[in-house]
Amino acid sequence: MSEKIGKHIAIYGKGGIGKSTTTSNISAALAEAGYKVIQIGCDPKSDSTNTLRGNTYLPTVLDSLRDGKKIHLDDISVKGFSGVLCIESGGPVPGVGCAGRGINAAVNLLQELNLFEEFKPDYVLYDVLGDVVCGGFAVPIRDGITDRAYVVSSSDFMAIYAANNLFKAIQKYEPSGGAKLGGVIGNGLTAVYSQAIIDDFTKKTGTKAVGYVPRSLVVSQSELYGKTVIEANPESEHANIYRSLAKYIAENEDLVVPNPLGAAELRDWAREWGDKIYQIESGVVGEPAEAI
Amino acid sequence: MKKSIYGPRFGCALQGALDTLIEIDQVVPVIHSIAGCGVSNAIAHRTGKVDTGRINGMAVAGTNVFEKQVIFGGGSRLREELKNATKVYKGELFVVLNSCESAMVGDDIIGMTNELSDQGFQAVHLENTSGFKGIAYAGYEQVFTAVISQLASKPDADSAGQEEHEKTVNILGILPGTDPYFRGTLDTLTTLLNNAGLKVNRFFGTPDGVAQLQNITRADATLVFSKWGYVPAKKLEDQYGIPFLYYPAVPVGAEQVERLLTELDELLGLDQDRLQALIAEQRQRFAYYYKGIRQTLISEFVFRDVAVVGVESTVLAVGSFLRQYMGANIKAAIVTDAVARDDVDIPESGLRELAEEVYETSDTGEIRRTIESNGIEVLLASSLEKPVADLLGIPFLSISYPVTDRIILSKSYAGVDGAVSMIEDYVEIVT
Repeated sequence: MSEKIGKHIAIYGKGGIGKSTTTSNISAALAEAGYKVIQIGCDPKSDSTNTLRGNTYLPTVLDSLRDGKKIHLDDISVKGFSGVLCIESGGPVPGVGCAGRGINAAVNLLQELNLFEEFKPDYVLYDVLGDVVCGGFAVPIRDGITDRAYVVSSSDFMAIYAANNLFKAIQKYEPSGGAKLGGVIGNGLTAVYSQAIIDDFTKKTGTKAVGYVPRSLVVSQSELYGKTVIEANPESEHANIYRSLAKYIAENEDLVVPNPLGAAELRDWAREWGDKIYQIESGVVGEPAEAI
Repeated sequence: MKKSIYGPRFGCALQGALDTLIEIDQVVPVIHSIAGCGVSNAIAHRTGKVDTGRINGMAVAGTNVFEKQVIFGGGSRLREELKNATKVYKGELFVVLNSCESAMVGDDIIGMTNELSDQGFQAVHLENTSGFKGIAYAGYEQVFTAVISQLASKPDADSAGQEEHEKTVNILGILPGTDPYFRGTLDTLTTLLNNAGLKVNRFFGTPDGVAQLQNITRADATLVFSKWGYVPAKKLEDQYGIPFLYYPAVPVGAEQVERLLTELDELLGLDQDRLQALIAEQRQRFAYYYKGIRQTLISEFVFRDVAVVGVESTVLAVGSFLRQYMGANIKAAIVTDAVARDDVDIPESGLRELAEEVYETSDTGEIRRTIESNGIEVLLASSLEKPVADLLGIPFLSISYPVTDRIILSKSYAGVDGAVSMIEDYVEIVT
C-alpha cells in the first residue's frame, strides 16, 4: 500500500454513545486550528456529519453505487464547517442486505476515487457504527486503512462491553497490519464515579483514557441547531474540552495494543463495581474504595 | 493438521439440490446466488456425458447477484427473477434455492417464495442449500425434507381403511447426478416393486414426479437405499407414521432382492402368490446366468485383490456382490462420502466386515496413493482413478461418480439384471 496521506483515525463505540457528536466536534476543532480534515461516516444511518454541514442533503457513497452511474467525488462529498470534507458511506435500509460489506465497498471506492490524493488531508476521521459485530465493521481498523482507533464510551457496562470488543478486534488484527488503540474517550459522564470506572477499565486493559466529556446541555442544544459545539458555542467550556481532545488526538503517538478482558473477567469486574456503587449510593461506611 | 484436498469429487449442498431438482419432471429450479453457482453445477453434472433433466445446465434460472445485492439485499432481485421465470418456464413446481451469499446477507427467500405461492404457483423454498450447509449429498436431503414440510399432502384419513387401497412405497437414497446409475437403478427397483403389486414413488425419470412428491406423505412405506435417504425417511416416520426399511445400499443379485421383498412383505403384507412367484422368478433368472459363467470363474481364475472406490452405498453394493459371487477379496474399500454427523444416528453399514481395509477420503491424491500401496489387482472406481489403473497396468471399471469414460443411460448394477451386468463387466475386464 502506498504511503498514507494524513493521519487516519477510526472512532468506534456503542450505538448512541455519542460517537458522531464527538467525532464531528474533533473534526471541527482540527479544522478550526487550520488542518485539512475529512470525516467519513461509516454507518447506514448516514448522519455522522450532520452537524458539520447543517443537516443538508448529501448523497451517500453507496447510494451512488446503487444507482450504478459513474461516481465523482463531488457527488458524494460536501465541505462543511471550516472546510471539513464530509462523506457518508451509507448502506442498506434496516433489516436488509449486509451493512458490513457496504462499509468495505464504500471505503474501497473512496480509495479508487483517489480521495486522499485529491484532497490531501491532514486528518481523516472514520466514524464507525456500533459494536464490531462482524468482519465488515472491522474494515477501518484492518488492512492498513487506519493506523489508530479511539473508542468513545460512557461508564455504562454495555458501552464498556462494546469497547472491550473493539479491543479484541484490535488485538486480532494489529499483528497483520491493523490499527492500534489511541485510547478511550469518556463521554456523557454524569455520576461521581463515572470517570473512575473508565479509568479502572483502561488500567485493567493496558490502555488509557484520553479525555472526559461530561454530559452537558450545550452539546444537546448545539445538535438541535444542527451544529457542532465548536461552531454553535465556540466560547463554551465544552468547546474547549473538544479542542483539547482534538489537540491530543492530533499529536498523540502513544499507541498500544490493548489486552481485552475475557468474558468472565469482564463480568467479575462489572460485579465488583456494582458492589462499590451500591455502597456509595447507600452511604455504606467502610474501607475507602481504592479506585475512587 | 489441516491439509488441502486434491481433486475432491463432490460439490456443495446447492449443487446436490440442483442435481436432484433438475431430474424431477415439471420442476423449475430458481437459484438465488452469485453468477457461477449454477454454471459450475452445469459443468459438474455432465457425468456420464448425459443430461436427462428438462431444465438443466445453463438453462436454469438464477438471480446472478452482485455486490449491489449483497450490500442492499437481493430480495427484490429474487422477486424479479421469479416473476420472469414464471413467464419463461412452464412447470408444476417452482423451487427457490438459497446460496452462501444470500444466506449470509439474510435475504428473505421464504417471503419471496410465499409471494409466488400467493400468485397461484406451487412453490417450495430451500433455505438450507447454501454451500456451507454441507456437501452435495446433503442437498438431496434438503430437497426431500423441504418437500415433506412444505409441499406434501396431508395423509388421507379415509384411504387408510379402504380395502382397495393400492399400497405405495417411496424410494429414497438413490441420488441423481452423483449416482451415475440412478436412472437404471430406479427403473429396476420400480419394475421389481410393481411386480410385487406395489405402486412406487420414484420421483425421477417419471412424468408425474411432482405428483409423487405431493403424495410422499401418503405412502405406506419408504425404502431407503443409502445413508443420504435416511433423514427424510425418518422425518416421514416421525411426522406421518410412515415406516421405512433402511438398506445402506441397493440390492444386487437374487439373494438380496429376496431379502428386500421378504422384509417388505413383513411390513406391508404382500399378495403371497404374486410374491412367491416373483421371488422364484428372480432366483431362477439369476441362477440361469450365474451358471453360465461357472466354468469361466474357475478356468480364468478371476479371484483377485480388488479396490472399490465410491460413495458408501456403491462400495457396499458392488463390493459385497463381487466378494460373494466373484470370489473377489475386497482389499481396500475407499469411501468418498464419509461425513461425521452428530445430527442423526444412522445404523452401521457393515462396510468394516466387507473389506480388509476401509479408507475414508475424497482426496484423489490420497486415493491414488492408497491404491498404489495396497497391491491392488483390480480397480473399480471413478474415472478420476483411471490414470492410476493405467499406470499400474491393472483392470479398471468406472463404477462411481464421476464417470466420464463411458455413457450410462439405463445401465445399473442393481437387482438381478444389474448383478448380471456386473458379472459381465467384471469378468470382461479381469479375463
